[in-house]
Amino acid sequence: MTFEVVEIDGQAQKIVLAGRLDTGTVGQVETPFTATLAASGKSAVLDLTGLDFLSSLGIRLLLSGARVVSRRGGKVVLFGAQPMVAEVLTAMALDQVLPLVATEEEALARLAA
Amino acid sequence: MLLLSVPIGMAAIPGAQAAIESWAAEAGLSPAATYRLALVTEELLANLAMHGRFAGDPPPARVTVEAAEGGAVLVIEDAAAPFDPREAPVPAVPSLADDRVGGMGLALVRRMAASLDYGPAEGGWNRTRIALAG
Repeated sequence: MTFEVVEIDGQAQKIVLAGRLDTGTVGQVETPFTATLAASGKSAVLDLTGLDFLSSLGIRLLLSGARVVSRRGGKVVLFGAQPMVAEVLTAMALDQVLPLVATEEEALARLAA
Repeated sequence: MLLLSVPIGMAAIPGAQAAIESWAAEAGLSPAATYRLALVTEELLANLAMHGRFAGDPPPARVTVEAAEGGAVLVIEDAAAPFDPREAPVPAVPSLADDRVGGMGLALVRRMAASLDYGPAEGGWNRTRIALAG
């Protein structure tokens, strides 16, 4: 699991999640992920392009991160999910809460909307 | 066929998944079927670790994986108090306002499984059998 933060225009941040987000790895990123979102108070786009595996524990982490941002009036948009990761997100209806789009450009456009 | 004895606890889950994924690669399972298999294994074992009720120290779960009709069949046997995953409540649609996000794991299991059977095994154990499409 790797986790990287990229500032975009001072308005939003991009968080790149790569590898697996599951029972074995969620503990490694839980604290920095939530702390990063809480500290910035900005909207965020989550780059899932390199995310190979997501389980319900990973979904809980995405949801709790989005709650932190939402409480501060920001938005979280996901983009670039691989087909199986997208299937899992859709199966759990997470896409109804956190928009899932194909590209970073679309994700940033959704933040602006 | 792969046979694993998996201690009850979150710490044992990544190792079981890794063993199942290497078995799946050797068996020539598709990436999608491999993902579903690893996911269902994680969710069921995590459920046992977090919610399983055992009389005394829990014995390890017995996990079997077999190739079948282009997909795979996963069987997990455990000594927990009986809990039928088919009857677990369907979780509410997630929301940003509501922190209650329980039940997602078993809901995923039901969504990923082509079929899901549950019943007693020998010695008072339980047997969960899941078929996954190829």
